[in-house]
Amino acid sequence: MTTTAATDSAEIHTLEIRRDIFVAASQAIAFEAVLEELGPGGVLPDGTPFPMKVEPWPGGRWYRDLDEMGGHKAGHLWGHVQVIKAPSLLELVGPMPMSFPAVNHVQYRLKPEAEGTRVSLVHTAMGLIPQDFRDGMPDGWEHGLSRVKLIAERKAAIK
Amino acid sequence: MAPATATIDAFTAIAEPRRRDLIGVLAEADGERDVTWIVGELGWPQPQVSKHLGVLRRVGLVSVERRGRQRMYSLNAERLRPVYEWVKAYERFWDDHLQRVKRRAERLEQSRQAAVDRNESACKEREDDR
Repeated sequence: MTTTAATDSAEIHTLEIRRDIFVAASQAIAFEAVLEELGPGGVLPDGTPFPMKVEPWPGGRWYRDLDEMGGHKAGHLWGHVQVIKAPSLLELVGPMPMSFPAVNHVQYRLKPEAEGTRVSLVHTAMGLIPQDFRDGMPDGWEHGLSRVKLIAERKAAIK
Repeated sequence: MAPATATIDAFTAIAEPRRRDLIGVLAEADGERDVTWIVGELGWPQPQVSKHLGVLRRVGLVSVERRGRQRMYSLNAERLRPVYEWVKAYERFWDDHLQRVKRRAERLEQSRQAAVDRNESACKEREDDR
């Protein structure tokens, strides 16, 4: 058996994304909508339907069922339900769609607010991003640091 | 086993808004600058600038070269690329997802409220008929 203890071909990175949104609906309905969008109503940002399954109980799976016969023999496990306290809290943990060693934690907190509900989402992740994944990332930066984008692309062009 | 240490990488380094400002200033400069120039641009106390420069250096986002008595800083912008690409994909995913949650919940709320209203209206009509 060969063991490689350390490598410079992959780097461990972390990410944290925080978002919140006001929903003009009751807490119970907002919670229902979260489960629906994480599950059968899922759609990718480009509009492609992306139905998933969420088993809404502690330890329940959050997964993509690719078995057309419904036999659960093909698919992709995105994670498990870590905490579910309807209608105020949902936490999911797992690899999500990262096909490299990674762990994600997604938390939804729903709080009643005047005439509606505040839905807060925190996604934290840690993963060993392989070199080929980093090299293969597409162009097209859209992040706020547009000046950095310009400089980086110019430097990349010079190399 | 060695104890876990508080680690910082490019992702966590740029999570701090002031460090993003500092990166922006160095990106704008598009070359080497000393700390006095950076302090002048940002208007922050020098110790604060030095502290953030130190963090950015540790994660490789900023390089430093000694030129005589001056230490010249420059941005390694290409190192930000994987950071932004990784984060961007998930930001887009969650932004879209939350908008869909909002639309679905508000649609559900309206349709259920309409059903309640219809039910109340029917009950009232029945009472009026008596």
